[in-house]
Amino acid sequence: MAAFDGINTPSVAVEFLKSGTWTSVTTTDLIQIDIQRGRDRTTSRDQAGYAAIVFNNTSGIYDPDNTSASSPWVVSGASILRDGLQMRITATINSVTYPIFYGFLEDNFTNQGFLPNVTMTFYDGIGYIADGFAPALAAAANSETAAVRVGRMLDFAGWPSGAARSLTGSVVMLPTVQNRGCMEAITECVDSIAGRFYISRSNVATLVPLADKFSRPTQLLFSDSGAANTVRYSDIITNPGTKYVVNQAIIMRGENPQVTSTYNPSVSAYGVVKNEIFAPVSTTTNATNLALYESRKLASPDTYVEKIIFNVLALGDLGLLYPDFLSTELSDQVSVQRTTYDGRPLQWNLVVEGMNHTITQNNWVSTFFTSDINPYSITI
Amino acid sequence: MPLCPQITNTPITVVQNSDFTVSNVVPVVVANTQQVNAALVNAAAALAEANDAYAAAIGSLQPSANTIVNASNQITAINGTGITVYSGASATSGARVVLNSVGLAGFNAAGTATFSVSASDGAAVFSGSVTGSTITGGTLNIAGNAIIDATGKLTATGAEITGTITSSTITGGTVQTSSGGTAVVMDATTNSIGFKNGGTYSGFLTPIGSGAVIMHFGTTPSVSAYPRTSVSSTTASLAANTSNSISITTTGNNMVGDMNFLNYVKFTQSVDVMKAFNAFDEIYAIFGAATTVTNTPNTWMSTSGQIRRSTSSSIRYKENVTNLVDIDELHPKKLLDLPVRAFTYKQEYLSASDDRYQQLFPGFIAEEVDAVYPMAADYEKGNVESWNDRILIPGMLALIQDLYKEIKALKGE
Repeated sequence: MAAFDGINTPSVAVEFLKSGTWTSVTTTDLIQIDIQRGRDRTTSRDQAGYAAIVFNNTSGIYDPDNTSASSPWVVSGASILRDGLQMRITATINSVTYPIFYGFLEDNFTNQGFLPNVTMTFYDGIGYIADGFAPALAAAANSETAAVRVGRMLDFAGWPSGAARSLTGSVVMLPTVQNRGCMEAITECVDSIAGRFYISRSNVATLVPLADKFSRPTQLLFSDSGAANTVRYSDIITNPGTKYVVNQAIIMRGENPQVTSTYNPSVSAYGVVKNEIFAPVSTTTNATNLALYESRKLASPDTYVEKIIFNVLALGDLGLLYPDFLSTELSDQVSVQRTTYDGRPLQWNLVVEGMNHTITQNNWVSTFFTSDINPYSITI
Repeated sequence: MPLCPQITNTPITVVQNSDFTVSNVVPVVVANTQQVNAALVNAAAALAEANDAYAAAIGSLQPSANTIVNASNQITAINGTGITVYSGASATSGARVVLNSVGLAGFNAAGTATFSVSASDGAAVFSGSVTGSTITGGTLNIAGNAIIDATGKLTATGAEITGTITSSTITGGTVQTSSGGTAVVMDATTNSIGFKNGGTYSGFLTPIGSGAVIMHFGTTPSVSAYPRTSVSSTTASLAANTSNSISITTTGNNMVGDMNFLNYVKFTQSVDVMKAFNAFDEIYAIFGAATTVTNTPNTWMSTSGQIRRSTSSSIRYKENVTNLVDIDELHPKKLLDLPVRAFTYKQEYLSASDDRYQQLFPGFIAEEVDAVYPMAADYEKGNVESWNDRILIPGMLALIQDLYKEIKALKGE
């Protein structure tokens, strides 16, 4: 990454976990890194994070069959290249290293053409956990909080405990017979607390409740003004939001009573747009509150910025904003200011739903997928 | 802390209000494959249990090609005869029930038909008793002695009824309360009701001509027997014989023969005895008292034939008492002018049996009394009828007293 000296711009490193030790690959071998995390909008599910790394393989050390000591995945003469090989991408600025992505090897393509290269694909922990399955129980059991249930699902998936987990969610769930994939069960928990589950940049399985959105920092201010402490964007794509209106929520709880809430003012304007949510909360009161929230939060659409495209190298002020940029996590907040050609000042306050990075030797372009800040809350 | 301005996301709590419509329903949950499979397993187990229970219940009732035999060795045979249920060795003899297109028939152990129901016309024959049924329509004939026709009319020869017969008309025959010596007998041949005591009739109630009814004493019904009572539309009579009877009619009442009253006779209305006088000249009275008394009679018969209580002389009934001689218009000296006559009564007036019949009779002429001393004259219907001795005698006594005083004065006493 020739453009990234670690002082004016972050230095980027790709490391593999070899025998418990993180080992970097040669930076100059990195042709391109594509990272994708989170989701493209608030109504979507968090997908497994994705990273595709293209290595320059003119040296041949990235051949899967190359067992020479110079190969990055040969340990004691044996290749450790296999599915699940752990990899992380970090960025360092002013001697502070920020994790950007943590993944598990999913695929490995070797291009033996005139410009030999190897493309390795990694998924983050969601992909890992998605392979787990919660076995069926003889009878429904474990009326537990959402956090406890997510923890049990992580256990089934073989996810490490301790610091690898940050789980918050106090809503009590109905007993379950399990017999489903771990991510499916986790999604039920997420919907039950109107929260979010993602794998952090540092590979922490993170469950945040609804209240989390009121304590998130605002990491960046995007602007076309070039003012201090602002980030100049390349493109902003706005959306009137009407496409994603939801004004009727049906909270389904298996054989238990399901609650339907309809926000009538929105129905008058847009007709009924319903969203069926399987949220097996234990009490009807919680289900009712959840339905009220889900039928209200998107019932009144506002124009928002759904996508911000910017060049990371444009982060100004001698790189003072790099720490804020590299610290930005899913669900953090950002702002966008725009002065239109006819002189109207606009500002959007947004939530980061997902982020993409495309890093080459000379460039780093990021895309933040954002949504309108949702101020609605419930007691749950 | 990031360098950019921080956005404060202020919570807006969603509360249920009129903007929301909230419903709560129990969903219809579609079973998943696992649940369906589990249900199928349960259903299979239940079916197996049902089969076991069926096998246990059916016992030896195991069907074959043409027969079914139950635990009691009852055999149901399906053959050319139809359906035959039997328990013996043969489906064509002995006790059995046969059902086919001909009908239903039962046979006893001897093979004798005990009942049958015809499929073609519904005719039923029973050699046993039919109990506890309601039979509608048709005719019932029991040995020709009791016949109920299709209209429900009962014709019976001989009947013994222990209950109550209500709202019926019985025509002809003899109805008696008892077959013994004492009974009431209603006889159609004489149209009479006889009262029998000790084996002998003592009397009858029977109709006579003109719609009248007679009840009489005797051993045979009769329309002329005595003693009797009879009632017709105009007369109610009581007769011992032709000479002694009482008749009460709509036009008057008659009594034939003497009547003895063994106790007082009280009349609440006036008794007109003039007709009695005219008819029989005499009134016979039988007094219950054994002796006569010396009291002044206080009964008076007026010249008009009315029997009245006479005026009493007690001071309890009198006032304005004075001496007769002090009243000029009643002074007794007027009586000195009253002629004392002798005469005979006219023949038509006095009974021929009277001792003084056609003899000169001393007395006054009522009209002369009226002329001399009107107070003593009695009138009837505007005519002078008689003179009143209870008025003349006091006047006469006053004259005697006056004469007595004069005599004593002349004698110097």
